[in-house]
Amino acid sequence: MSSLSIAGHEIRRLLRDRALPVLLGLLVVLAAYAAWNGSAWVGQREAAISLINAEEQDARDRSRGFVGKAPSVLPRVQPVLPPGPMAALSIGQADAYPYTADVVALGDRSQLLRHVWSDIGNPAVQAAGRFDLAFVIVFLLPLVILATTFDLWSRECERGITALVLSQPIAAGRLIAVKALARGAIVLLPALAIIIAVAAGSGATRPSGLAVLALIVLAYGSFWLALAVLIGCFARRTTEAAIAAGALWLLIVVMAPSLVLAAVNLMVPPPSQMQLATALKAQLADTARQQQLRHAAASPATRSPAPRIADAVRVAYADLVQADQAIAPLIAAHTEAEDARRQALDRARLLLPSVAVQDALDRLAGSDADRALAFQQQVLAYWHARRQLHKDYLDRDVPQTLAEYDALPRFEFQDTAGALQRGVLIDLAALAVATLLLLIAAWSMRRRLATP
Amino acid sequence: MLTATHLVKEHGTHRALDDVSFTVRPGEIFCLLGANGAGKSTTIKLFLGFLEPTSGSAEVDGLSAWQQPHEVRRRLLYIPENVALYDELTGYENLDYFARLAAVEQRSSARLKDALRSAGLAPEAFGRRVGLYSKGMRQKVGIALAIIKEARALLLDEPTSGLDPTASAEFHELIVRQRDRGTAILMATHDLFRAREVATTIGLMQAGRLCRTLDASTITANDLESLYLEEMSRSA
Repeated sequence: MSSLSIAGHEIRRLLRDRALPVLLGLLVVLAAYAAWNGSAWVGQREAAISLINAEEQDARDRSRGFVGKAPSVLPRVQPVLPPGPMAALSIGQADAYPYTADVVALGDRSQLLRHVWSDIGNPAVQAAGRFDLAFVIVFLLPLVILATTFDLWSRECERGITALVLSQPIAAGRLIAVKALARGAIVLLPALAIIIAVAAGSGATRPSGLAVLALIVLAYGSFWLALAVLIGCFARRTTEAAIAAGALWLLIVVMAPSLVLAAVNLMVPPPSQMQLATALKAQLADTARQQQLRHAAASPATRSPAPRIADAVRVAYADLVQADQAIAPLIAAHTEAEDARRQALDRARLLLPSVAVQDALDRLAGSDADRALAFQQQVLAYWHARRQLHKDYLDRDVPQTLAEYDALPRFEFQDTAGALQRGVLIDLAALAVATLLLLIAAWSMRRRLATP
Repeated sequence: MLTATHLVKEHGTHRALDDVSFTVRPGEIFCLLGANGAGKSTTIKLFLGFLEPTSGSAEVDGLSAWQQPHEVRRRLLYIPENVALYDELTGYENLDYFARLAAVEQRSSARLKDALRSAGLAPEAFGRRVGLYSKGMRQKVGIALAIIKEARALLLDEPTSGLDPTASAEFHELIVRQRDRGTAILMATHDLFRAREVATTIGLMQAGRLCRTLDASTITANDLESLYLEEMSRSA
C-alpha cells in the first residue's frame, strides 16, 4: 500500500474531526493578538528612540554655542539599539538589556549603561517571555500539534482497530510514521501559514526573515511530531497518551528551562550588580581622594609660555584615565563572571528544544543577547573614540573648531555580519539532533507496535 | 492451508499452548472449542504472527507466520470478536482503506460495493458512518474484506459472540459460503451447536492442549456437548 493512501485516509479522518478547525481558529486569534502585541512594542520602542534622538539633537544644538570656549565640546550622546526588521516577532530579551546608553566623553565607564543594569541570558526569561508571536510558537504551537497527534496510535489500540490493521501486510512502524506525517501536514502547514501571515501583517515582512521563520516553525513542529510518534509507540490508551503528552509539554517547555537555570545558577552563580556598583563607588571615591591629596601636596607645574589649552585640563584628563584604570579590574572581573555564566546558559540552551527555538526567534527578531552585547561593545568603542578625540585636542594643543564640531562622528549600530545565520543554524542543529534522538527512541520501540 | 506443528507457547513459566498440531485444508472449517484460557486465541495469534512460538510452527501455505508475517498476512483475514472499524468513516471507506492496507490491487468502486453486497450489507448502509453500525454489520464489513482480499485462510476469534440469533445464523451462512469458495477457516468459538453445523473438524482445547479432534459429520450435537463437558470436567 502506498504511503499516500495511508496519508489520505488519515487526513480524511482528521478533517472530519471538529476539533481541528476549532484549534486552528484559536491559533489564528492568539497569533493575531500576539503579533499585534509585538507590533505595538516595536511602535513604543521606536517612539522612545525618536524622543532620545530628538533630545540628543537638542543637546548637540545647545552645545554648539560652547565651541571655542572649551578645549573640546563633546556633548552627551545617547546611542540607541534600533529594533531589527523582524522585531515584532519576539520581544525576547530586548527588555532585559539596555537599548540606549549615555556616552559622556569625560564621564567614567561605569556610567555608560547605568540606566539599565540587568541580568542577561536567563533561559527562564527566554522561555517565559511576553505574549508575542514567539510565545505562541514556543508554548502554544506544541499544544496544537500534540492535541491533534497525541492519539496517533492509542485511539486505534483502545477501540480495538489495531487487531484488524496489524493483521494486514504492513509494518506498524511505517504506518505510524506516515500517519504522523499526514497529521503533521494537516496541522503544521496551516499553522505555519497562520504564523507567517500574522508575522507579515505585524510588519515583519523581510522575505529572507520569513523564510527563516518558516524553517524554525517546521523544525520545531517536527520535534513535537517526533514526540507524538514516541508517545504512540508506548501509550496504549488515549488517557495514558494525553497524560504523557501534557506531562512532556510541561517538562520540555516550562520545567526543564527553569531547572536548567537553577542548575546553572548553582554551578556558575550570577555576579551581583549591587556589589559591583558598591565596589565601583568605593573605588572611585578612594581614587578621587588620593588624587585630591596628591594635588594638594604638589600643585602641577605651570609651563612657560602657557599652552593654548590650560594644563589643568590635562591634569583633569589624567585623573579621569587614572580613575578608569582603577576600576578596570573590577569591571573586568564582573564581565568575566557574566561571560562564564552566559556561556554556560548558551550551551544549556542546546539541550532544551523550547529554549533553542526561543533563542532562534530572538536572533531573527534582533532581540537576542548577542545583539544586545554587540551594542554594548560598540557603545564602549564609541566612548573610547570620544575620549581619544578629547585627548587629541590636548595633545595638539589646538581647541576644537566649529567645522570639527559639526563633523563629530555619530553612533550607528552595526549588526554583526553572519551572527544571525550562525546562531540560528546552531539552534536548528540542536533541534534536529533532539528530533533524531526521539525518532531513534521510537524506532527502538517499534516491536511494541507489532501486537495489538 | 493452515498448519500447526507441535506448537508451544510459554508466557514466562505459564504454558499457554502445549504441543498443538493440526491442519486446515482449503474448503475446511476447523472449529476450536474450549473454555476461556484454553489457548484458542493464542493459537490464532500465533497464525497471525503477533506472537513468537516458543517451539513448533504455525504456517500458512507453508510460510512461517512468525518469520514471514507480511507474506502470511497477505493470504489471510482475521475477524476478531468485535470487528472494530473507524467510526468516523463509512462502511465503504473502511473497506477501501483496509483493502489498501491489504495491498488489494483491484479496488474499483463497483468491486468494493459488490463485496459489501455479497457480505450481506444493505446498499443504503454503504455510505453510512460505521459509528452507526450494529455489531453484525461490522462483522459483515470484515467478511467483505475477506471477499475483496480473496483471502485463502480465515481466522475467526469468537466472531458471533454477542450477535443475535438471526445475525449469528446469517454470519455462519457467510462463513460456509467462504468455505465453499475454497477458503481454509480456523474458528475459535464457544457455540457448540453452530460449530457442529458449520465445521468440518472440531478440536477440543483444554489448558493449552488440543485434547480431541473430531470429525463434525460423524457426531451429533448431543454427543459433542457430552464430550465437551467431559473434557471440561477433567480439567476442573
